[in-house]
Amino acid sequence: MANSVMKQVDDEVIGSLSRPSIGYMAALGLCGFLITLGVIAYIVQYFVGMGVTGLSIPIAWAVYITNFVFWVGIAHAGTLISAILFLFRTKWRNRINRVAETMTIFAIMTAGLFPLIHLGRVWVFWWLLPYPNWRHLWPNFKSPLVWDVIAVSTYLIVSTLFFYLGLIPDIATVRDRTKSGWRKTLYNITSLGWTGKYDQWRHYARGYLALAALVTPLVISVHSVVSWDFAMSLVQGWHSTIFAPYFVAGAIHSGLAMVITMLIPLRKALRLERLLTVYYFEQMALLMIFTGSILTYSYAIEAFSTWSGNELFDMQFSLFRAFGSPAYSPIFWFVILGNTILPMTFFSKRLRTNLTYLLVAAILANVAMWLERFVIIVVSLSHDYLPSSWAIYAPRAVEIALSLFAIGFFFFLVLSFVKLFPSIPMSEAKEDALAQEEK
Amino acid sequence: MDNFVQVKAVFFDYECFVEGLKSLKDAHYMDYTAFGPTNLHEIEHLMPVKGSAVRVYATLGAILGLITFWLMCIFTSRIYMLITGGKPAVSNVPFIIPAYEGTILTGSIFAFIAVLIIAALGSHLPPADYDPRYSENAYGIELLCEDTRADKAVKLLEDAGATEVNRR
Repeated sequence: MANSVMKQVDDEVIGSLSRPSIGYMAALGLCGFLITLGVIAYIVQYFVGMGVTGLSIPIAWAVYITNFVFWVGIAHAGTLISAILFLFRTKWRNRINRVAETMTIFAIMTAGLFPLIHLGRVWVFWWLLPYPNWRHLWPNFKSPLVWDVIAVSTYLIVSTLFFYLGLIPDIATVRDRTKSGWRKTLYNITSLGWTGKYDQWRHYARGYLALAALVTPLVISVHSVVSWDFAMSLVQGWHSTIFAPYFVAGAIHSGLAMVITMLIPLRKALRLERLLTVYYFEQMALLMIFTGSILTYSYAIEAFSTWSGNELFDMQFSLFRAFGSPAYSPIFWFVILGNTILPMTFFSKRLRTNLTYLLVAAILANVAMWLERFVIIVVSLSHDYLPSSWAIYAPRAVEIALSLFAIGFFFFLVLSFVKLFPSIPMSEAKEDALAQEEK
Repeated sequence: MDNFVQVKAVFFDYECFVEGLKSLKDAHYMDYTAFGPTNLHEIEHLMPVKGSAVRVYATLGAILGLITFWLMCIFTSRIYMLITGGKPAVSNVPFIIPAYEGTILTGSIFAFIAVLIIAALGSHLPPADYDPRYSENAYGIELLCEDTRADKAVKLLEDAGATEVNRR
C-alpha cells in the first residue's frame, strides 16, 4: 500500500531525530573540544597579534586563506546536488540533497570566519561592506577581494533561502508528529503554517525552481571569483586563465568527497541504511570520476602551457614546485596522485560500492584538496621573482588549532542539525517511494 | 441564491486521489482544492487554478538587483575618483561581478518573499480545520459547491476510491 510506504519513510526519518547514541555524543564532544581549542588560539592571536602565526613577507597568505578556499569549495557540491541535479531532473539527488545543502550552509559559515581571522584587525572588517558613511569611502568594486565579499555573502544568503524553502514541508511533517515541548514550538514557528494545500505546493514548486535556476550560475561564479583573488595578481602559480574552471571543478570534487565522508557515518548513526542505499554513494563516486578528470586535465594543461610558453620565471617556479623543494614537492605529488589517480579507482564497481573504501578515499580526497589549496597559495608565494625573498613557511600552533577548530565547528553544526531537523527530504523520498511502488 | 456546502474527501491511495480530481474536473466543478504530503505540481492540469506569479517577481527582483548594484558601483566610484589598478575610477567591466551577484541575490530574495506572500505562509500555526494526515500519508480534496450538486460530488469522490467523504 502506498500509504504504508510513505508512513515508513516518515517513521524512519523522524526516528533519526530521537535520543542520540553514545557515539553521537562522543563525536559532539570531540567537536566541542576542537572548538574550545580554536577559541583559545584565537584569543591568543587577538591579544598578542599576528606575530604568533607563521605569516611573514612574502608569505602573507597561508593556512587561514587555505582554509577559506577549501571550505568555500566544500560548499559547492551541496548546491550542485540540490540545484543543478534538480534542474537536470536527476532522481538520485532526492535522498541526499538535504545533507548536501546542510553542508553548503555550514561550510560557508566556516569559510566566512577565516578572512576575519586572517584580517588581524578584525574590528574593522565592516570597512569591506558597502554602506553609506561620513568618510565618503566605499569599497573598491574593481578589487577581487571586494568581489569575494559580495560573492560569498550572496552565496550564503541564497543557499540559506533555497535550503529553508526545501525544508518547510518536511518541518510541517515533523511538527504534526511532535506532541509538545520546545521542539513543537520550534517546528510550529519554522514550518510557517504549512498545510500541504495545492496552492502552497504550486507556488513552492515555482519558487524552488526559480531559486534552483538562480543558484546554479552562482555556484559557478562564486568559486570563479575566489580563484580570481589569485589569478588577477602577477604571482607565478596564480596568474592563470585556467584558474576559474580549475577551482570550480576542484570545489565540486572536494564537496562530493565531503558529502560521502559525512553520509557514511551518519547513515549508520541515524539508522538510515534502508533509505540511503549504496546506490546513492555509487552515483556520487561516478560524479567524482568526472570532476577528477577535469582536475587531471587542469594539472596537465598547466604543465603543458608552462612547457610550451617557455617563460623563465614560470618554468623555474614549476620545476621548484615539482622537484626543487624538499618541504613542498612531496605535498605537490601527493596532491597530483590524490586528485588524479584516486578518483579513477572508482571506475571499479567493486571499489565504488564498498563503503569502507569509499569513506577512506573520500577522506584522502579531502586531504588532497586541502593540500592543493595550500600548494597554490603558499608555494607560489614562497618562490616569487626575487631569489632574495624566497622563504619556507610552516604553520604555527595557533594556525593548526584554528584549522582544527574549522573541522570541529563544521561538524558540530552538522551533528546538531541532523538531530533537530529531518536529514532526508521526506516529501521527495515519499515521491520516490510512490513511484517505486507503482513500478 | 443556492446554499453552498463543503465536501471533504480523504484518500490513502494516490491513483484514487488523481481519479477523484479528474472526476470533479470532468463534471465541471470549479471551486475545489487538494492537499497532500508530496509535491502536487504534477496534478496542475486537473486543477481549476494553474501557474504562479513567483517567477515574475523573481525576474523583477533580478532586474532591480542588476540595476541597483551596477549604479551603486558607478556612483560610489564617482564620489572618490581615485585611480587604482591602472583603471579609470568608473570601469564597467569589473563592475559586472558585483552587478551579477546583485542580480542573483535580489532575484532570490524576491522569489522567496513572493512564495511566502502568495502561498500565504508565515503563520506560526496551521488553520484549525487542518488535517495532519495530509503531511503524513493521506491526500485530500476539498470542494465548495451548491447544495444541489453536493450529492453528485460525494458520489464521484466515493466512486474514485475516497476512504472518507464528509459534507458540511
